Amino acid sequence: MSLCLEDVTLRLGDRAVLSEVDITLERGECVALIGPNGAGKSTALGVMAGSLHPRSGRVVLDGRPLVATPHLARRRAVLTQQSVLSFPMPVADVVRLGRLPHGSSADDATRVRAALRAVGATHLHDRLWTQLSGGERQRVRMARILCQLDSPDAAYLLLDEPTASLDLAVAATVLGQATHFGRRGGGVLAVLHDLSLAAAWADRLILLHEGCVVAEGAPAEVLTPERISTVYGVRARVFNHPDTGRPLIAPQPFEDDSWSRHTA
Amino acid sequence: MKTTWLATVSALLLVMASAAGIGAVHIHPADVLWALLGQPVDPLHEAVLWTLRVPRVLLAAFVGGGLGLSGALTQGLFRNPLADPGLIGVSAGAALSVAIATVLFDAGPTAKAVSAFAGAVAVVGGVLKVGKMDGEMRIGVLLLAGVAVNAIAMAAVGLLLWLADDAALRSYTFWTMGSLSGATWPGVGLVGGVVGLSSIAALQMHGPLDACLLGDDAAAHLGVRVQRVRQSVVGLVALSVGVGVALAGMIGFIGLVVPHLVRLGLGPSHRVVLPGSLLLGALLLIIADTTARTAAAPAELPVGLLTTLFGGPFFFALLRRYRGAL
Repeated sequence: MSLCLEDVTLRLGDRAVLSEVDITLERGECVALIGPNGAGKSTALGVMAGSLHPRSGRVVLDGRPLVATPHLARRRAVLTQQSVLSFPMPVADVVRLGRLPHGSSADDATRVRAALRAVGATHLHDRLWTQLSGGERQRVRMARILCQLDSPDAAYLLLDEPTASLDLAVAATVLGQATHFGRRGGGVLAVLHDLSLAAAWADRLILLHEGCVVAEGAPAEVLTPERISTVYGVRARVFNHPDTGRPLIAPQPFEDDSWSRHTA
Repeated sequence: MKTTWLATVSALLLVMASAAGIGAVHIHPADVLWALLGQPVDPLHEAVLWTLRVPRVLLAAFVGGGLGLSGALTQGLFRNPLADPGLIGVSAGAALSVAIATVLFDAGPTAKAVSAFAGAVAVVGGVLKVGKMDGEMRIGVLLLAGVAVNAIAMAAVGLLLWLADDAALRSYTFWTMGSLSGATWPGVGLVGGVVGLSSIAALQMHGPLDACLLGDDAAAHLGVRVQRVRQSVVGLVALSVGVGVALAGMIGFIGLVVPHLVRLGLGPSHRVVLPGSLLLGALLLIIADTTARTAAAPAELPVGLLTTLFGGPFFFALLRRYRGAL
């Protein structure tokens, strides 16, 4: 049981954003997709979500082509980076939209409250979306996703930079809930930029560079100083977390010569 | 919530009954109700009611309801509370078509109505075609296509009016100010049918429309077929506004103001905004039309002029008061 990209190539104009990419997301695992800006991470996630269509290759959900999956929205949820909602909609109504694929039922209000409780946003239930801070909005978005996943059919969760420009507490809540879904047998894939955070959170890392998968495996195998230097062009030291043994990445101090090299 | 709906529907019925009684021949609302129930009343009253007032009030209700609903749909479509059905070219199309019919063919009321509807639907179709790229309708492109089509249509109207003689000019000008004085039973049936069916279709879509407010991707991830929703919305707006413009001319501001009022009172969920805008649009146009035909009696003010005259400042006042909540 898995969600896979098989030999996927996708072009925008002349540029191959993804070339012959294979990614497998098994149920029950948490995978972080990492790589520099423009490596194709969000594009790969978009293809897995079904919102982008590759020029060649296949997207397969539990043995079936993704496009032929009935009730796809009941099987997988996607947390995108931004939402454009500009109407003063009550938070409860925003979260309830997660029930849309399931049809309305009498216990929707209970599910909405449970989802808000899970992300520590019970107090936002009656507030208006337009009056929330960035962190509060992300909590509410995650609550909507949890509401959508509140079904025995739910199998996969895809998160596009769920921690971008958010504080530690919000990041911990969102990724914690994602882990919780993974531990109950769901497959979770998150695009992450913070390498230490990705290493701490994920069971497995997939490193994308210029549209290709260049490394894949346990965090300590993927995040070596050599590879970080090759892919990001930055010298970094890798330590081990004293408690978990997971890699911690510290970039070298920004010396004058490396600084001028980047700005020249 | 239930009491709000009950109050709105009761207010609408009360206003309809009162509006049917107000005019040169005054009829007590109780008599109106009595006559509507099929009981015998004064024959003069009966004649006035059935041939003049009732069709007119119903026409106002359907046209106003259609405009309110279309306003709510357009604002949802563009994810912008300042959008108006005119943005997709529906009024400009009707105006151009009526200008052609009046100036070049000296058309009568029926031909004018048919051409207004045809023009509205045809121009919206054109905007849709231009606004579609790679089979997808993009909101930004759709908006710009609407702006361009509006400008072209209005320039063409200007050219036609420059050619027009005084009678055609006067006829066209009054059409742009809107009037419900031409209400007939067949017209009422037509608008009622189109607006009724559009409403039924639109009210089913409240969930997908709410999801579309989150953005195209987020809606698609919730299983909403965004393109299909968008095309349905444009189609429903073209039909409802087109048929309204055809029978009542241009009536401004209902489509823009009414959804706002509903949102300020009941929140922005389409579950309430769509039926609320339908009811409130009907209510406001009936009041406006009753004022239009009685304020300067025996003369009649153009109702479209009145809705804009009062709608504009009222809208401004609302914006000032609630700008924090918008």
